[in-house]
Amino acid sequence: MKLFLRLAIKEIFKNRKFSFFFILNMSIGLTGFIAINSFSSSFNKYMENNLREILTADFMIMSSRPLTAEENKITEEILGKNRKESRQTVFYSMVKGKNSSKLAQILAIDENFPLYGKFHVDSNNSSTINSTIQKTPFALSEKDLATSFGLKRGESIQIGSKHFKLNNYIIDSDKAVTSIEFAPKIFIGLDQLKGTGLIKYGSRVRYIRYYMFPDGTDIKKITDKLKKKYENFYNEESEIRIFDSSSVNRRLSRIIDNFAGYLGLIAIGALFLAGIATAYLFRGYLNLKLKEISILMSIGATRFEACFLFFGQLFFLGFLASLLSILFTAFILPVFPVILKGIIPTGLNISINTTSTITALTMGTAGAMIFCLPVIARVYNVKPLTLLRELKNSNGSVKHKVMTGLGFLPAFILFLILSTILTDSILKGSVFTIGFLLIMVIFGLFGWMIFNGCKYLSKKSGVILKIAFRNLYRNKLSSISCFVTISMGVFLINMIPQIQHGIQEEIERPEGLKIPVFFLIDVQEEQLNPVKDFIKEQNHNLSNISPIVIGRITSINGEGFYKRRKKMDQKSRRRYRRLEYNFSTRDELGNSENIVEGIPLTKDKWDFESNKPFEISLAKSFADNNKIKIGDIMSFDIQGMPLTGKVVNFRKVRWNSFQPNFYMLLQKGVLDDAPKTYLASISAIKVSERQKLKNMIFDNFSNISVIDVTKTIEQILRITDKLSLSIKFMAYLAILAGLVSIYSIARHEAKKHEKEINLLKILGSGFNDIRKITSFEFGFIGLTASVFAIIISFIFSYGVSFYFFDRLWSFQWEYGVFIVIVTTLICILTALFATDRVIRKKAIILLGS
Amino acid sequence: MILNVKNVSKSYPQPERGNLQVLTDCSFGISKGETTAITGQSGSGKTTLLSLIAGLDSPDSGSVILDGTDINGMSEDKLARFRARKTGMIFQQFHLMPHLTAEENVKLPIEILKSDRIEEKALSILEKVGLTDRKDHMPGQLSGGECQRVAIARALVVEPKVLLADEPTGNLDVKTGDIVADLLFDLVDSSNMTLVVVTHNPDLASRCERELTLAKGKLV
Repeated sequence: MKLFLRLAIKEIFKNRKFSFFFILNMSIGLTGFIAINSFSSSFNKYMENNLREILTADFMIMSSRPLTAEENKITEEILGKNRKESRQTVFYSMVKGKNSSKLAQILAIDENFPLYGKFHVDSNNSSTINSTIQKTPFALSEKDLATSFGLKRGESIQIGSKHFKLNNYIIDSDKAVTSIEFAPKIFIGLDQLKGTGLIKYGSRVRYIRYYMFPDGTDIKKITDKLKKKYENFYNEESEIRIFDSSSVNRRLSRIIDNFAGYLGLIAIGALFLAGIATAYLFRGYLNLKLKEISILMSIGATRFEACFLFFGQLFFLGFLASLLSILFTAFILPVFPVILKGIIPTGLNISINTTSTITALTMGTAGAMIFCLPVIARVYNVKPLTLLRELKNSNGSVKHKVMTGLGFLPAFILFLILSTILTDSILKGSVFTIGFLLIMVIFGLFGWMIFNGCKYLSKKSGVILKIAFRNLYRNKLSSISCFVTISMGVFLINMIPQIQHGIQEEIERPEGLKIPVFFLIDVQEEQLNPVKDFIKEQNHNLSNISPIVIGRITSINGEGFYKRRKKMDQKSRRRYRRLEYNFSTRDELGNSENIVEGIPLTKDKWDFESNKPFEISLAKSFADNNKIKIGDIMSFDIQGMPLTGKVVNFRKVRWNSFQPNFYMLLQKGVLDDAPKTYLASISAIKVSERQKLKNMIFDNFSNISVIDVTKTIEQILRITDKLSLSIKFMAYLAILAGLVSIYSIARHEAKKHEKEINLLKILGSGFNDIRKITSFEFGFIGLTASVFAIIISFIFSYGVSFYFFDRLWSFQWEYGVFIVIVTTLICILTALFATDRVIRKKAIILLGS
Repeated sequence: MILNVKNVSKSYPQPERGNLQVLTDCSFGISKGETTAITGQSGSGKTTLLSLIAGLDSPDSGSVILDGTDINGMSEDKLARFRARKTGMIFQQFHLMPHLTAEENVKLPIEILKSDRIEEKALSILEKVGLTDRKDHMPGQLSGGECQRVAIARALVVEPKVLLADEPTGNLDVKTGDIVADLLFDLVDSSNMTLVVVTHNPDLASRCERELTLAKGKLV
């Protein structure tokens, strides 16, 4: 075998151009994949190393009310004495600075916070700052927030009815993944919470307790024991939520995992496009080598040794491609933190680690062999007999066909495995794999039809077009390979922005909807009328006024809701179980929702004494997630009152319309006597008046939180922009892989037609005629491939938008036309560039051959 | 007998025309050290007969016994090794590996067979064919005659029992063809090797001790 390895290396060096294009193709395809892999593994490593610091503890207990004496007893009993504890109360509130008011997340911490990690402030008193803020009304915030309030160090902010002095600025307080934040953070001492007057009924407050145990303690054992104890205590419906570092990791990683998964799928697409092109290149190379295989076999080499010779070459070429892709990745990785600034943690260092290197080398070497496996099957058809007789190695043997068919299997399995790993779901992975194959088959069929049609076109055209169409028809396989590669790239390029465009358009200009400027939350019952009047005095209207009552779902058709969810979550591997829900009621449905199943809620007021279940309207997505059907009986615990209702309709809710919407709307009268708060919105406020109005609301109703919806939308758009930029980047990588393929294929085709081209010259064709033929051939492939890809991508993007994004789709033809023109031009130029050397060769080589 | 061909027949399927009978019931034997020419008109079945002797194809019926072994019953891989040890092949189109030097081409079969003294054997045979000074040249840098000499060296380096040649001078001019033929016969004589040569060339055929003529697939 050493001999064949030596021969393999020799072949690589002797066929430098083939080797170069093979390596380049494969490495471009691999680069995206390795970059995503490096990003994911760097992120996971970061999370692993910083989990306790992110959580600031070994685990935490969270509830929406302070723990009861019994709950305290349970906790003490399980946790024992050998531990450290820190308490925190978190809520949102309006905060007033020197000249403005804004919503902030208030974190009232005790002096033990954080149990792990450090509280970084911009002065030397980091260690004492915690005890200081317990004793004095000092607040800590990030410098940007202070600046936006127009405040300097030492000046005051008003939280509720109490004034706090801005003492220090926090530096890099958040090690976690930054998701969309409605409000910046302000830290105050837990003991200083008194006097703010902010903890009222309906306030969304989270009471958190952090715990730290000595090293070596089995944290999982403790948390499991505590969870079980609470579940038993509450008959499996615990109101207390317990998070250890692994559950925090799961939550925080979800966004990045989804994002990396999506990018990864595009990267796999690019890798497989490069794989197709590589296999095509290899096919051409192998065709030229079939005679040599015959020679080798005639002088004693076995068929296995002949295959080994090519596997050896593929191994080395794949290995070199991996090294090059690692080099490319090293150039790409620094772009990630720039693109994703504000989304990923600031301390995250993205680098190519051992895992990525091993993945690159494995994918490169194994991938090269796997992609070319169906081609290598041709070796099984080689007969040394051809050396004696002028025969071609036929493709017809059954064994060869079976081997070729089986040769595709490893590539399919590899694709399936990679997609499953990236999406973390066999179903999603399979859907993606089958979808990808389906699209390829569709493009393949289109290509087959088009190039078959070229036969007829060639009969009806002038000389140049005749030759070009005939070439396309006679080299159908090459033409189809080229067609599929280009169309897949264009498909990816067009589909992503198309979906994004639909969503963006909806966010920016929703038809028939007025996006509110402000959301007013936590409006107390007794404040409703004064707030209404106040807003009216300011020449604005309070709209979408919705009562909110917090409650729990206890059962569905008699089956405990918590138990039911647990069962469903185990099936879907989800862990998040929400305990409390907001219930509301409304006379008319808003224009961001419509009934898709069932009948409208009755206008009659529900009679508490009637013993009849009241009517319930559910958001369709909520009903689907919880497998609830029309007619199902749902029981609730609303402020300690057991209530029963019947589902009468499902609503399709356009959540991204930014209107106040609810999962559950109850019949009129149900919530009348329950203590409630109100949510309302104000629309059409001039930009110049917004801050003034916000300040005035704070001055008059300091407990009411005002969310600036337009700011939130801006933030969402900024993040989607960043994410879509990364996605586009991957899609362009896929296109680049496609272009290198075009170049390689065009070059290979020109080489293959060298004799024909020179014969044409001898027969009187000029350079220009030959260039015209080449331009037309590849221009035709580029044009037809991109047009079909654009059509298919429009259809697919519509499908994706319909099912996943509430039918948010808008036709953006300009971008499609642009892509068609650019792709066609690039194809022509690439082909001309690739074939120029062959065209310029002197026709005398015909005599030489 | 080093080679025994018994009642060999061969036909090839023709699209829409049934089977084309190429060889019919051919039998002959060749003794060790004997030189034999197979002649006949184009399409008479010469090359097919050679391919059956070389084990590159299998007969429809009959058997080919080479050095006491019926080669038709062997597996493909076994046959490849057997062929490499027992026979040497010289082709009309030389069929050298284009990316290997003359020396590397000559070494290749003995490397495949994992022989000993590879370097020594290759240089020795290159010297015999008069190409020592051209050993580092690629086939593309050699003339037709030189290429065929490399092919002869490659065939002889394994010291085969039987040397099979298919129109060895067919691609060369008369003068170069004569030089190559002289070399071939000298080397065969000096090593007491059996030679089977398929040729159109009457001069080349006349240099063999025996001539088998094929007409319409039958020995006449």
